Order: sequence, then structure tokens, then C-alpha cells
Amino acid sequence: MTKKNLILLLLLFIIAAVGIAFSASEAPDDPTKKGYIGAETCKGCHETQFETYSKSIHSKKAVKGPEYKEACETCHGAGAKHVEKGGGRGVDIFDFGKKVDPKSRAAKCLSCHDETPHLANWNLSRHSAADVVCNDCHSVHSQGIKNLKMKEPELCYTCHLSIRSQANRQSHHPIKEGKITCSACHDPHGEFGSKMIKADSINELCYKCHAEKRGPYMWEHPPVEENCLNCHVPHGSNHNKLLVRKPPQLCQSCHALSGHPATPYTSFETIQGAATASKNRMMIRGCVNCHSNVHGSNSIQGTRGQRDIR
Amino acid sequence: MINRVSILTFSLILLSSVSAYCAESSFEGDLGLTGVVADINGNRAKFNEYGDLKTGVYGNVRLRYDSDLWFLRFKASDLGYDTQNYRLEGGAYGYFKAYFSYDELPHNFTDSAKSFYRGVGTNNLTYSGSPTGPITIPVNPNTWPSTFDYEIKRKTFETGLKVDALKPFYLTTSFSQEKRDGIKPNWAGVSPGSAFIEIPEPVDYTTNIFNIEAGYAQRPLFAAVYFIYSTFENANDMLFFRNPLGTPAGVTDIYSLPPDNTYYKVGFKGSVQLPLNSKLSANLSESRAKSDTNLLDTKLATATVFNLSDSIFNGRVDTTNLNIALTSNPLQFVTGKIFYKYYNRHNKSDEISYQNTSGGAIVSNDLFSYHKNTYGADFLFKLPANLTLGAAYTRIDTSRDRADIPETRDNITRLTLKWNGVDFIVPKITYEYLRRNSDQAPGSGLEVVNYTFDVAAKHQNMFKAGVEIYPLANLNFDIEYKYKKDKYTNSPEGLQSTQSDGIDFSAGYTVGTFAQLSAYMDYERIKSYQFQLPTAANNWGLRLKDTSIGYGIGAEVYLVPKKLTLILQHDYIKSNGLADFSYFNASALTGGRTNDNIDINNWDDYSKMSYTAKLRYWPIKALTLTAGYAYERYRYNDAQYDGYDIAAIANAPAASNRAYLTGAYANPNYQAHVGFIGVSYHY
Repeated sequence: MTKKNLILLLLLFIIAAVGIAFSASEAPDDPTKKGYIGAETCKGCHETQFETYSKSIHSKKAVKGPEYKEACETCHGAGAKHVEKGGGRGVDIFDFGKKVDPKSRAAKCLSCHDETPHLANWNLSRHSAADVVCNDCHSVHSQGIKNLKMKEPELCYTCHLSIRSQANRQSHHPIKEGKITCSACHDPHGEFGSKMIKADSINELCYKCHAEKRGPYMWEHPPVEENCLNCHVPHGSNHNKLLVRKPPQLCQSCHALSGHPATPYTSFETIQGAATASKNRMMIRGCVNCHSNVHGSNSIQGTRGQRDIR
Repeated sequence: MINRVSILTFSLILLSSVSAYCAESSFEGDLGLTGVVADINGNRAKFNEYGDLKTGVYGNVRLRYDSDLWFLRFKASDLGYDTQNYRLEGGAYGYFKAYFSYDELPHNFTDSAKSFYRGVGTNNLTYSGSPTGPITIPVNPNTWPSTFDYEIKRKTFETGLKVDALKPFYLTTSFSQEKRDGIKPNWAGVSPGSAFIEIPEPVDYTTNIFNIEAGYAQRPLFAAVYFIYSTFENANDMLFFRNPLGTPAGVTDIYSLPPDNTYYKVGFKGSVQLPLNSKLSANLSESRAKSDTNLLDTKLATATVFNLSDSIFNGRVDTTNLNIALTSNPLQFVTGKIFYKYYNRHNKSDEISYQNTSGGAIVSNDLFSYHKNTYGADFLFKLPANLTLGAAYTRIDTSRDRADIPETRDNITRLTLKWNGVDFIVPKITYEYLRRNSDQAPGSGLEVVNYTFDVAAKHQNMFKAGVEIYPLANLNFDIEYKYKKDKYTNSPEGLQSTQSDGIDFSAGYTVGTFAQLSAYMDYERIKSYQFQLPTAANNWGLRLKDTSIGYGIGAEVYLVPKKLTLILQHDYIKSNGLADFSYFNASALTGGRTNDNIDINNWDDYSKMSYTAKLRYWPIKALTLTAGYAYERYRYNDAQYDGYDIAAIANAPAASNRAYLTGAYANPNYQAHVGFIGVSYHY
């Protein structure tokens, strides 16, 4: 795709967007205010919920949220019938329980947050598609960070079971130590890619923290430049440096045709093995003992740079 | 850079001033002190890989001020330690928010490594003795002059501002600076790849990132432009070290380290609501990464390079990305998405050529560029009987602009089925099939390699089945099984297949108001097979098997409700690796080798076990007392590292096996007992 085509596509998008934006009419406010009873009435039975709500950002008039509108009834709907019937979970009231249609629950939040910039891609979210919606992770009545029901990563682990397993392994990013959160790399509210990463490519994401790998290098290692995940796993691995397999076998997956890359490195070539040759290609870091600039090199000394040696 | 004393002082000033100012306002916070006694036997660095847990007193502060309009939050943890973290944010609800944060993160590799080099931590490693001639390094490492820790400390300062006072317009901006300082293990081999030295490489990096985004967000339109600018500075572009294994012995050798670079990205993103409950979203961005290196600095002073086309390498990589997606939910029973992504990595770096010998072969770098076109559709249908069917198709065409790396075409099909027929059980299954076609021509091209990863033809089958069970309102189970197999269909050697099977389980049970119980279990087995071309020496195959199992159980027991709580947790993880080799040609089984004794049974084997017991007591509502004990044990066993230690020469019989080891990976085992007692006051 040429740059000219890209600009043309962008212009088309802008024209369409502006046209639709100006032609679309705003949804009229609900003219009926019947059946609203006010927060003080709710508090009579739901004191704890009222207290937690009162301490949350949603109770601030400045944000033009529920307090600016109908307080509790902004989200739960008019409460008169609920009161008339003596209350009860879900009795003529919107209760955000698991039995309630997820899209209806999300719609309540999106009635305000649809215009929140970081929710602009909610329509692309895998969570939305899987019926995981706002109140599965957040609670208006929570005072945690971003009103989360639990801290990361435990919140994410409640669904992503295998990620916890990976993050517990001996080589891992400092996720369980609390120094990297899931949301540092993923946007739970939606991004274009399937893993909802906060970048246009895997490498762009990794370079945010590992800027030294960005190069650009004179001697490149193409699998490295195309996708860090060719050799690494992001959450945790049994192998050092979060590698998918150990060197030399990882390297021999590709470099296998001839010469020393094709040599078998067995128990005989380990430090305590019986062999007297080739041990330095096997022990400790394997191939990387010598080819240590595997992410790229600028050396013009002999073939060192070309072979990622220094 | 902010030091600990100034941060502590700042915390106290902030605490007192906010307390005074907000005496009659909504103000609350916590002050906590925790005393720790840690007894660590074994590898302290591995125990504290990303931590700084040691005997001492840890402080935590949390402040929160709120009014109808203004807010202020301050949080500080691990005050004074290498893991300390501070965050101050404040602003006016609905108008703006500003924040400052400071975070420290250590990465400890090894304590008390040793090297025969002087100048460890700098980019000039030297040793005493003759500059030429035979090796003069003492064989006994106890006489080596340098003892040091392999560790990297990250210190990150960040500030940002978000303005939404002019809704529907908004502005967000941030700036962060991360400094990394320390020493990491690196290696230098001696051509042709035999003897090597472990080298302490200095790390002195500074990464700056500036972000700004401005946009408009009001139904039905969202539109924003953004700009990112980042710089990376390495205080050491080269590492100079006297090489006892070089030619001549003791020559000052050179290691090229990551170059300084700059990066920027500019982009637009937007979405617009359309009729029929539809939305069109788009994202377009361009980026550029640049570096430059004086190539003459990367060669030995004694070496000559002939016909170097340019002594300065100007690196430049441009990327272009476009995403367009249309989502729609026109009817209650169908949700759909069609999408297109174009990604182009264009390497516009200098092409450099030179000759190592006068009139010798011309050596030149091969620039790697590629572009991907991705498109597809993803639909969800609500079917009768509370079934949800998902069907998706994705096509990825990748063109790589290097003669030796093929083009590939991926076809990915995914089907999911979920049943919501009853409240207490929700089963879900997913099947995904990937077929990758490749123009691969094995064994040809600029490099003699057999491409397997992203560029080899393959079939991939993935099956996943899970079920959420809620037999009681206070009891839940979640079980998931996953199977994935990659079969490389046109790779005559190298990696042939990988297969993984895994099962994950978690459960939670609330025993009235008395306790909350939780448990999890994870099991995964990964197998792969690779083999080499049938020559006499290299006719061999390898089956790798890597098995992981982990589990944890936890309980939170409310012994006296709102007064006394007991927290218990036990976690365990174990990995077992096997490398099963086979020589297919008996003539290659020399030196006592048989097909039974060449296997490696300890291949990243390890186990980690931990126990924690904690009591929390609230004598009054505002005061929390905590006391506890934690135990952790780690055992690691791997054939590549067995016998590794600080040593001048590992296995001396042949000169090609020579190695100078600093102890970077020596004995990672540890056992730790940690006792702690803490008090926290809430006001």
C-alpha cells in the first residue's frame, strides 16, 4: 500500500466521520422522570452501598455523572416500584447481577462512558465479544484503583488461568512482584489486535521498556526484527530470559544445515560431560556464549557483526 | 535524580501540610511500619530477583483528600528500599488530573561474582601482566581482584497531565525517564566459536519517553491525534576488554554495545457511530527509529578494513500502520466485525560494504524490510437453546524484502461455542486452525539456515475447552483444557513439530462469614521434535519434553469478625525437562556414546515452594496489627549449569574449551525464612 493510498483512506474516513457526526441527531433526554424516589430513600435500606457510592468519584457533581443526574437511580433505574414491592434483589430494579444480560449491564455504564476517550475502542474489545463487561471488573462501590474489584494481576487471573501459571515460572517479568501490571501492555477496553496490546506491533510494545533492542542495527537478525515472540514468551518461562526453548536447541530450530550449528550437543558436551570438545557451545548459555549480540550488532571486525558475535 | 532522603522529607512535609490544610475536609490515610527479619540461606540474588527483602523496617504512607471538586492522593511504599514507589496525583474532578511518580525496580542476578578484570562496572576492562604472549591470568579465582554483584537498578520518574475541562475536547500528556544502572553478564567468544570469557558488561542506560494526545470525544464521533518521542542513551557505546584468548593474547578487544537511538511516532485514531448499532474505527500511524554509529570504533586498533563504503552507519527504520475495523450489532442475535490491518517495516538504513582483506570478498549488510496485510471477519451468533456460536476468519499475507526469506500466507479459522442454558454451569469450546503457506526454499539464499518460525509452512491446530461451574452461590470452579500442535510441513530439518497440553483449574469457596478458601492448579506439558540432515556426523534427532505443574491453596479465616483474621497461603511449582537424543547413524556414536547415555534428564528442572501465615488484628477500627511468617525454598538443576562456578578454566584438556567464568549463574538455590510484624494506623 502506497503512502498516497493511506492518506486517501484517512481522508475518506475523516469525511465520513464528520458527515455522520453532523447528520446524526443526539438522543433526546428521557422526558419522563416518573418513579424516581431519590438517593435518600435508597439509603434507608442500602446504607453500605450508599456510603461506598458517596466516597467514589461517581458521587462528584463535577464529573457530571450519577450525582449530576439521578444518583443511585442513574444506574439502577427508577426505584418507586421496587420500594412499593418491598425491595428484593432484582425486583423492579436493575441489579447488575450475573443473570442480567451483559450487554444491558455494559449499556448502563456506556450511557455515560461511551464518550470516555479510553473506551473509544470498546467495540473492538475481545472482552466485549466474550460478554465480559464493565461490572465484571469494576464496581461503582469500590474505592480501589480505577474502581477495580481486585488488584491486577489477580483480577485478570480470575479468567486467564494459564497466564498465572506462566507468570509463576522461574523466568518471568515482575508481574507477581507488582512492578508490571497486565494493563501496562494490554488494553482491556479494546485495541485492534487480538491480544489487545497497546502498540501496533509486538516489537513496538517491547521496545517501550527495552529501548536498547530498538537499534537500528547494521547487522540485523530478521526473526528478532519481525517478532520478539519468535524466541521469547511474554509472561514467564521455565527457561532463562523467558525463552521458548533453551539454546542451543532454540537456535538449532533454524540454524541446522551444516557446520557447528548442526552438531548435536548432548549430555557429553555439558560441563561435567565426558566430551573434550564443543563444550563451550553447549554449557551455560549455549550458542549465546559467543553469538551474544543476537539482537543486532554494529561491528565491522571480521565476521563478528555479521554473525552476531560482538 | 530524586534520592531517598528527599523523598522521605517530601512525604513528611506533604503529610503534615495536607493534614493541616484539610483539617476540616474529607481527608483520610494510612501510615504503616513493618519490621522484617529475613534469614536467607543460599542465593540471595535469586530470592530477591526483583525485590529488596531484607532485615529492616519498611514504611508505607497513603493519603487521600477529597472535596466535591478537588482531590489529592499520595501513596508511598517500601520507603527507602530498592523497590520504593511513590505516586502523587491530584486535580479537579471533571477538569484536570496531574501526577508524579517515582519507582525503583532492581533486577538482581548474582551476588559476589568475581573477575580477573579490573575496572568492572566501566567500559574498560583491563588486567595486569604482559600485553602479549601466553595467558597470564591466575588460575585460582580467589586471587582475582574484582568482586561485584550482577544487578541492574531501574529508577523511573514519570509525570503527566490530563485535561478534560473543555469537554468534548481532551488533552493528555506525559513524560517519563528511566535510568538503568548496573552490571550484567555478557560473553565474548573466540573465533571460531569455542573458548569464551564471561564479561561484566556495564549498563548505564537512559530512556526518555514523551507522549501527547489531543482529541475530541462526543457521540457519535471520536477523533484524536497523538505524538510519541523517545530517546535512548547508552553511556557506553563500546566495551573495551583485554582479551587473554585473543590474537595476540592480551590485545584490547572491542564489544559493540547498543547504540543511542531516537524514535518518534505520530498518529491519528478515531471512530464514528453508524446506523444499525455499528461503529467504524481507524488508526493510522507512522514511526521512525534512528541511530548512528562510527564503525571504525567497532574494529580492533590493529585491524584493517578495506574499501569501507562509509565509516558512519546511519540506521533508520520507518514503520507505517493502518487499522480499520467495522463493528456492528444490527440485530439482537448477531454481532460482527470486519477488519483490515496494514503494517510496513521499511529499513532505510545505510547499506555498508567492506573487505576484510585486500581484494577479498565483499561483505555487506542485508537490510530487512517486510509488510503485512491482515484482514478478516469475526461474527457471534446467539442461537436457540442459549447457545452462542462464534466464527472468525483471518488472512495474513507477509512479504519480506530479503531474497533469502520467503513470503507467507496465513489462513486462520476459529470456531467457538458457548452455552448459557443454566446459571450454574457455563461450558465453552474453541477450535482454531492455522494453515501457513510459504515460498520457502530450504538451504538456499544468503544465509544457510532453515527457517521455521514465522516463515515456515505449517499447520496449527488449537483446541480449548473450559467450564465455569457455580454449584452454590458461594462456590465456584473454573476448569480449562488447552491443546495446541504445530506441524511444520515443509522443513526438511530443524524444528518439525511442537505440541502443548495444559489444564488449569481454580476454585473459590466462601464459608459464610467465617472464611474464604481458594485453590488453583496448573499443568502443562510441551513437546517438540527436531532433527538434522542425514550426514554421518549430524544424523540425529531430539525429542524435548518440558513438564510444569503448579498449585496453590489459600484461606482467609475470620477468627473474630472484624477483629482477628488469619491468612494462610501455600504455593508450589515444579518443572521437569528432558532432552531425548537419538543418533541415527551408529558410526557417529563415538567416545563412549550410546543412544541411552546421551540424553539430558535435568533440563531446566526446578521447584519452588512457599508458605505464608499472617495474622491481622484490629484492636480499634483505626489500628491494624499484623504479624506473620513466610518460608520459600527454590531448587534448580540443569545440565548446562551443573559444575558451573567461578573458575579460570572449565575442563582444561583442550584449549578450545577454555573459559573464564565469573559465577554469574552459580548455584541459584536458596531457602528463606522471613518473619514480619507491622502496625498501620488509619485516620
